[in-house]
Amino acid sequence: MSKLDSPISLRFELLIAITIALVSLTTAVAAWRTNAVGSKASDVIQQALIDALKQEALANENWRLTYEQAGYARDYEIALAGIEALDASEDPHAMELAANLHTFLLPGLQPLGDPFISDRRYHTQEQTFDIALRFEHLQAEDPDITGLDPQASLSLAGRHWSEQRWLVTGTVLMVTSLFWLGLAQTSGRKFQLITFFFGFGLYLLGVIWLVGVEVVFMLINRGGL
Amino acid sequence: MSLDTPQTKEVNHQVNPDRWKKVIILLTLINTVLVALIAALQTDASTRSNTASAESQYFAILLSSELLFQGMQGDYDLNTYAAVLINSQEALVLEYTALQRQVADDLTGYQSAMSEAAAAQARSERAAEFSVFLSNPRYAPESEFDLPDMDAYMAARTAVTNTLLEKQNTAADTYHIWNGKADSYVAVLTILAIAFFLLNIAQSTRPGLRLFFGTCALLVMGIASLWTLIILLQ
Repeated sequence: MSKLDSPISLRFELLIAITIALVSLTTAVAAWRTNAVGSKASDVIQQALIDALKQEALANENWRLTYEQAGYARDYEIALAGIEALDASEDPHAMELAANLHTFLLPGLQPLGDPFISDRRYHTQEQTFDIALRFEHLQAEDPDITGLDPQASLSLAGRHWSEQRWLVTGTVLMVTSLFWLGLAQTSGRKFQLITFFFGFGLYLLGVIWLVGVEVVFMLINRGGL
Repeated sequence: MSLDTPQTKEVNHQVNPDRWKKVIILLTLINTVLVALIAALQTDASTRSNTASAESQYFAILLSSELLFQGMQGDYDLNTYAAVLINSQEALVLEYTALQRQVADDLTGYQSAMSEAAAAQARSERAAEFSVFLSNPRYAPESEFDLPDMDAYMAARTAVTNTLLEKQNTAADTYHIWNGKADSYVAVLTILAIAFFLLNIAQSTRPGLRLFFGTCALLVMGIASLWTLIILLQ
């Protein structure tokens, strides 16, 4: 039996082979986890964009309704000012016209301009309308949609992507470890031990790195950091 | 006395079919590390491109919504100002008509026209209270002979839109840059796959061809590394 084929040497080669298998398996798990985190980030982004669309669609509809009501309420107030002026004149024809307009025109306009006309909350000190307040009240009627936070989802996706980037770094460490372990398998006895321990050290560093990344991002996502 | 006669060398050569194999294994391992590094760079570029793409889409949604809002607000403001102008013009015309009736000794017509003129003037004044062009000091005319400052109004309206558009454009540009890099890294990875193929052929062929295929693989790896450097420096 040659020195190279001694039981110790054979056992050491077996150890290298087992370590290579272990590192390969861990690398595969790390690659899966990296991909899963990236996929989660994409899902969150999609949700953020859907939420943003929902919110903006609601805001558009609420602004449209607000300005529609404000426009009718403004027309009502303008018409009312004209009618009051006619009523204040000493012309009987104008006074009669004012009475008719008051009876037939204004009641038709009022429902279109409400709640700006009848609800005092929307009247400003300048005798105009508080359009922004009406919009706020309409928005508050749909808390499910206005409560959505697309920007928070975008931030969460950013964190997932950041986590993915750090996990990839860990995967690179794993692959580099594979490089050195492979080298240990093929090199002579002189360098076998050094390359093996260097490769194994890189593997341990990679595992610590991956676990560290997972823990840190778990704490960040839970608001612990 | 040396035993390395040509015949012995030939025999040695023939009995060493594993020549260059360790070099090929080393090259394969180096290629693996290169692939891992470039895959990491590709993921990074892809992540940055995805982030920018999402931001670009988000700002596009906000921008389209803001444009709709600006349209509705602009309609309201301009219609209100139009009501001021129409009613004030109507009041003037009715006063002129009243004067004509007075000249024609038509007292009823004069009174009727004057009442309607007063009503139109009241409507105009009420509309003015609603008009942002007349009530807001930023746009209101300095004297009754001036016009409202429409340029200031347009600038204020487009400021928000322009800011959003700028953000959207920046995000879109960032997306294009990183997406281009990510695509280039994929091309580099494909080239490194060719290197893997060449190394595989080299490993399974005879020593003379092994060196040839190994050199080709090394060349391909060199090209891929150079390209990666160029992408990094872009």
